[in-house]
Amino acid sequence: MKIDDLKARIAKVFRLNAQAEEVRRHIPLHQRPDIDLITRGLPRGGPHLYNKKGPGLQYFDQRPFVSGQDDPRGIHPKYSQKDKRGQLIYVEREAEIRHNYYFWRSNKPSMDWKSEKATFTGREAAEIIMYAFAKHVARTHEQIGLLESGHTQRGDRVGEWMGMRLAQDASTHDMPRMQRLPAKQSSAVLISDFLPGDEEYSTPESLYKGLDQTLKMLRGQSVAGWVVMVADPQTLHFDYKDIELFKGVNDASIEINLGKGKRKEQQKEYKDILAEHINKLRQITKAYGFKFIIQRTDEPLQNALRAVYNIGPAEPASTARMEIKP
Amino acid sequence: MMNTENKPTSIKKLFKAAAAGLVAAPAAAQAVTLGSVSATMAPWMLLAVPAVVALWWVMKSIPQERLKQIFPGIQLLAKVKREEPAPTKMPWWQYIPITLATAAVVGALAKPEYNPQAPLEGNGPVVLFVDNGWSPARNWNMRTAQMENLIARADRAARSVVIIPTAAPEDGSPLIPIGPISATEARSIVKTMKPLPWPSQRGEALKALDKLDSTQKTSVFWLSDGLDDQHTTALAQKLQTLGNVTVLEDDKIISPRLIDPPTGQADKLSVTVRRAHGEAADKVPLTVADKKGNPLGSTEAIFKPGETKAEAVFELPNHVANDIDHVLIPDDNTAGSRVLIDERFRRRPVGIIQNGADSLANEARYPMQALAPYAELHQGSIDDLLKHKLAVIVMTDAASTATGQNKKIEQWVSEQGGTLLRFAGPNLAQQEKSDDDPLLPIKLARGSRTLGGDASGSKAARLSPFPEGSPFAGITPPSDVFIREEVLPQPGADTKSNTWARLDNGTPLVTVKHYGKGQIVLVHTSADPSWSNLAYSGAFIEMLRAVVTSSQGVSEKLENGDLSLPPVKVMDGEGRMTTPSAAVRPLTSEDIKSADVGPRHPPGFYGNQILQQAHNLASAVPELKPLGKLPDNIERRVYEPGEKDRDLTGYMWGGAFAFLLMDLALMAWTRRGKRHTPANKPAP
Repeated sequence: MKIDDLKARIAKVFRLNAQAEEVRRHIPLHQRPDIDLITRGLPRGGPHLYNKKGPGLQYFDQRPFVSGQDDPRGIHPKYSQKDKRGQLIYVEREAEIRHNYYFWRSNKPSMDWKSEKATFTGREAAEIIMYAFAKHVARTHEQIGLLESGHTQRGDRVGEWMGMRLAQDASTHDMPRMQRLPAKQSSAVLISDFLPGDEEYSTPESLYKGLDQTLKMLRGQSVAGWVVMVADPQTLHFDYKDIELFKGVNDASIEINLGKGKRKEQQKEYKDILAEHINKLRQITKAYGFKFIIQRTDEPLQNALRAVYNIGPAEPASTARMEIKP
Repeated sequence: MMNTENKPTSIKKLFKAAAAGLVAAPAAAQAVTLGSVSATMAPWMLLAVPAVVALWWVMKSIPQERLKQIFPGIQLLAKVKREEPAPTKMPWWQYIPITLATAAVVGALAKPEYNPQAPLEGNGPVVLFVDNGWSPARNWNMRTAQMENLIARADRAARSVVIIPTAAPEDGSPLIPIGPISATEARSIVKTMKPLPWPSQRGEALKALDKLDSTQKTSVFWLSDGLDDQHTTALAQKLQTLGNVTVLEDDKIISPRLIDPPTGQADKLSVTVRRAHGEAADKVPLTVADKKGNPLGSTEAIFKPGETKAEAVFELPNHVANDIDHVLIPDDNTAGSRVLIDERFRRRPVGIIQNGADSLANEARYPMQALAPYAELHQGSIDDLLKHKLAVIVMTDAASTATGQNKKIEQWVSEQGGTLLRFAGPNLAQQEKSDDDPLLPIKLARGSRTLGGDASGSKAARLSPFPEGSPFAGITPPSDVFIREEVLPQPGADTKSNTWARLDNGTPLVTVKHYGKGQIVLVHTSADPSWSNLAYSGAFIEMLRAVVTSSQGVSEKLENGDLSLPPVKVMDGEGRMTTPSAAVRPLTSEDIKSADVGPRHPPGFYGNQILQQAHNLASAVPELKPLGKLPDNIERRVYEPGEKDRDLTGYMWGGAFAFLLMDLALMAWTRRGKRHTPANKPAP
């Protein structure tokens, strides 16, 4: 092979790589190929949230009929006929799988922050998880909606629809402000870093209160679901040895000078405070029938989806290693 | 930010620091008088030392700007206990580079100098009188360094420079002083200045000194080649009129050496090496090499204490003798350490007149076999032979009648300086002798004389010892050689001067006659064994070689002619062969006789590709003696490598730059990976 040909080929490869990188940077998140990748291996039927008896149509269990308690319409003729003891057999139904999924992710400035140890910003992680989950459940013809607007959509193009809606979202609040209540018995996914920041929820207590109110409102509509905290590794570990001065993302005027003398003790103290914060969030979510999930932005985003589908841990092992425990 | 409560204390500290600096400044200013260690050309700049101290203090006082880190969990962080932060100051080791950089700047502005020397005397242009002939080439770098040093001193004293070379310029122009010129121009001249392959002309340089203005007294430095000549004293006196004179000369160990052209033939070359200083014993390695510089042999010339001449002999195998191009002293790169060898010292071309087939019975076979290892042989008719450049033509007895072209041979001998070697035999004996036969060295009697036969009543004759002055002198006559028949000269024709060899009965065996520019040699017996067994002996070979050696060779003829020889390759000042410049003129016999070695005729080969004449430097240097006594008040010094003052300003600027870079690197290192900015929002 001639040297010139070789040079041309190498140049072409580099040029193509550069073009690919440029294109990738401009691809909207909902069109990125890794969205499909992270949903591989998830159950097709949707998350089995209600594996218990309820007003659905699927078979759940059978038992002897209790007169005065059970509805006689639930007596199964064939099972009763076959029963050797001559008892009437009552068939219980499984609770119906919910058909509406509502999504919300925080749009506050701290979601755009990323430390040098992270792979994604909070926003990127949140939106990729949202798109992946929405597209996955949309394959089984579920309704996909945005929690704040209350609009829903169904079909193969829910990713595009959701992307377009989110691009127009200029809100910066820390909790969803629902213009319309979601449909009853539906599911909701709330994704944020859940760190106190802006004016409304500038303290942890106000944040807990806001979350409590939001989940309470959803619970009133019999909505259950997941609260996903996207956590940057540095917000979990606080591994800044040489830096003394820290300032906020949302409000840059807030500055805290920690000094450098007792950094190890301060790091430990911060972790304890964070563990307490997470514990509080976990308690609130659990109280309203929601599941609390932590997704680190330096780990595969599939972890959050696996936790949603109950096939993976709700909190990463690395979080356990850093001793943030309930 | 500076703590306001600390201000009074800080101001006190500032005054203390400034006071310390003011104390340090005069102490530093004393460095001007520290002598051989350091000096400064701008001592007032040392007043800036307090500035360095003040800078140190200021940098120590200014709080370091803290690195800020954006952190989203700021509200959680607010609950972390924290100590009351004190204003952060730069760690002491971080301001070492910038302080050193400032100190280096101050030092550079003070123009420091290492190993300062005494200031130059007078106020006129500094005169550098430089011997740049062939002899300084061995130690030229030292001279260049010395000149640069002197120019730097002149530059610092804001004085101009005059350079006076003593060797004639390469373009053949007359010697003139260069200058007065600035130090910058002088440096560029010194860089291009080089030793030249001919002797210095101090007489011409003396005339050139008249053009200098001697009203302003100045410092004169004579960078001499350490050799003496008839103009030395006058020159020294003339230089003294310009100012204070310092003469620099080489150490005796590295004084120049010169090889004289060799004597003898190529297989046994004898060269003489001369030196200026003869105090110590010395061994000079010598190498003989071919045109490409490949060594063919080596030997040593050994100088005994007190001797300025030493002789060395190369004994070389015959097969390399014709390849010899030059003899040189390795690692002694001067024009005097290389002597060129031309045709005169190589195997000489000999022609043998052929008569008939080449058989064992052929008479020419005997001289041919005798000379074959030592000479370049040509055979053929006289017409064929005369087409070549020949040193000797051998004419056997059979050939003498066969050719019949005596006129051509006579012309060749007389006009081109050839040597005709003739052998006697039956033909010559029976030939009708005319008194004016030009091809016979002496008049011969008719017939031949038989020795040792029954009828002769005499014994066969032996060779008698060869007389002094004969080319055969030194050859031992063999006792077993008998001459049975010979041709005899007419009574009284043989004399001491025209007889090179005799028999023990007193009759001549070899006679010679100088004819025109050449010579005619006659061996009175035959070349083959018919008249004697001389051809069987080793003495026959030695005698024939001696005859060839006595010939003029072929180059010698050029000296005698009226030809002018264009330059082929000439030598440069460092003994390398180069292409001649346009200034080099053809060499004539007059130039050779007058030993003209200069820009018009530098040492080298002249002639054409076939025939070349070596023109060596040694002919122009009859005497090599060291620099003698000089007038009083002239300081004499030896070139010393360590004698150099050095301006440290450049080093100081370099140091300042290096410290600034170090500071930059330190700053980059301390701030590595500390800044995090919010990521941009992804494209919709």
